[in-house]
Amino acid sequence: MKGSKLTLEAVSKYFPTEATLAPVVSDFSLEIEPGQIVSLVGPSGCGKSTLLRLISGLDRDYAGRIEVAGSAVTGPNPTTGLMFQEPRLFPWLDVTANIAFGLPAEHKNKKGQALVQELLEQVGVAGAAKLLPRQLSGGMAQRVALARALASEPGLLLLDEPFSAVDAFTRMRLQDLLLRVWQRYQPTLLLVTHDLEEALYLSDRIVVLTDRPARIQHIYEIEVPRPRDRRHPELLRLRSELLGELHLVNSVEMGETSSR
Amino acid sequence: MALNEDILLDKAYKPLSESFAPLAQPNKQGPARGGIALKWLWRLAGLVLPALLLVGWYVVTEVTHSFAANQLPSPVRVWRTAQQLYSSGELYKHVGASLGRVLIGFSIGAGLALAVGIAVGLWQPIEGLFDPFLQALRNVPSLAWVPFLLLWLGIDEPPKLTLIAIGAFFPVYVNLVSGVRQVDRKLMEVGYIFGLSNFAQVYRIILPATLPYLLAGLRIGLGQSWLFLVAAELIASTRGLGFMLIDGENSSRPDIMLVAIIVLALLGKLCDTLLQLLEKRLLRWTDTFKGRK
Repeated sequence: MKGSKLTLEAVSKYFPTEATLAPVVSDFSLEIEPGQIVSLVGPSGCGKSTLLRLISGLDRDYAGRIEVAGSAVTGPNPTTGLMFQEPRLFPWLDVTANIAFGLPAEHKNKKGQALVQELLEQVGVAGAAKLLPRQLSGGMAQRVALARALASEPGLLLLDEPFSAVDAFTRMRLQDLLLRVWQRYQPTLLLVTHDLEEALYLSDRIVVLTDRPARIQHIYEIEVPRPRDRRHPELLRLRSELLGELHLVNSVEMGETSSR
Repeated sequence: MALNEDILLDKAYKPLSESFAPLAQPNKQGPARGGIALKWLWRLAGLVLPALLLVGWYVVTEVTHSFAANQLPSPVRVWRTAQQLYSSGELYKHVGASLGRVLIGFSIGAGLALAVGIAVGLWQPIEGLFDPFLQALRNVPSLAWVPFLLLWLGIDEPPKLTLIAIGAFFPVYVNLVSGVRQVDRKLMEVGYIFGLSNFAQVYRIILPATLPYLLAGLRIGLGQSWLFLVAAELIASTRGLGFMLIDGENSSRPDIMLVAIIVLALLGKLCDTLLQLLEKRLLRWTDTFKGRK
């Protein structure tokens, strides 16, 4: 498994409304180096998740160019993984079989089984290998979802607010877990999040987006070396800067709403 | 989950398997002391009503003699008749004929419903083409088919099997189509992400997700098969439980009719129980309300 380079060039996406096409993403360009961790933050509904859907190939209707590891995205690609806000486990499969669901077709052999075993250990659910999803807690289910996404050995893993539905302590553990598997498998990670601490703790770069249509407002480089201390002064400083920036974005939005 | 200090200190991640232990135990501890006997007693609860009915039947026939024997024969009489029919091999012949018809007719009907139901559930154009017609056919009462089936297919096995297949088809079809349509779009997206082929989407996501609906449809369909069987056998047959009913009527033998009815009830219940066991086995994963204890 090695990280894929991600290139977005002048990407635009429109949602059809009654009369016209409303832009959701407009002229968006971004380049992510292999193995980097990048977070997208911005106001709710600004098009972050839409961007992930475009990159994952779930939504093929866009203008511009999206390339993963040098080839244009034309549909779901086995080397691009997507982890959702909810675990989305298959309720009829036990934990092991859910993880094995992510294996590429040619891997349903010993090598695949070994990888599943390894991932069970890596995400810390080996003790729950035979349980059904209904028997799992939210945090555990999300670990399994992460293992399933990793089973396809993605070069690029997209994460759509992956830890937003679990409590704060579980979230911190899952963030550490994500960093651990990232160090081991070295995929490129692109993360959508509303949690500034999460973005600061995990990312090499934080991309702040404008309100819809999504454009890049600012990119922060986080140079604090890993493992990071969540209380690192530089992270705290960046956090207040980000808050200021996002507050600005919000107030512009509110101004527009009230002037309408 | 216990709050461990290492979270706050950002220490290296430690596997959590141990702290999962309480969750990892599905409710396997049996009921409390004395509970097991009670649980077994409850399994027999379903016999209470039939037993009461049997006692009442016995009282009104053998004790108070409220009914004439040619109207309602006593359970003792019915039991003797059943024994005679059994030892003469007659009962075996009729049950065998009916059971065979139901199994074959049901398999044909349910098999067709499986293919058509999945196709209609998967593709809207096929739904537009087939569904209105099938919904219209579904509302034709079973007996309305009988004269035409006899006219077209003769009076031998084919019209009976066809009628039973019709009875099995619709419940399976209707349940399957709504089952396919309630498959979670979010799970389908997981399939797209992993690049599943259309075929793999069907057998790895759609079919398992639809299983609860399919099994409900099969249970209703099997019940309908028995209903339609009797409709078919009442009209044109020389063997089978429906024939036993007609034969009992024609020869003024209500005891034979009652044997047929009781055997029909027992066979129907047996078939349903087998499907219920299958359901229980295959649907262990569902996280649904199981009823209060």
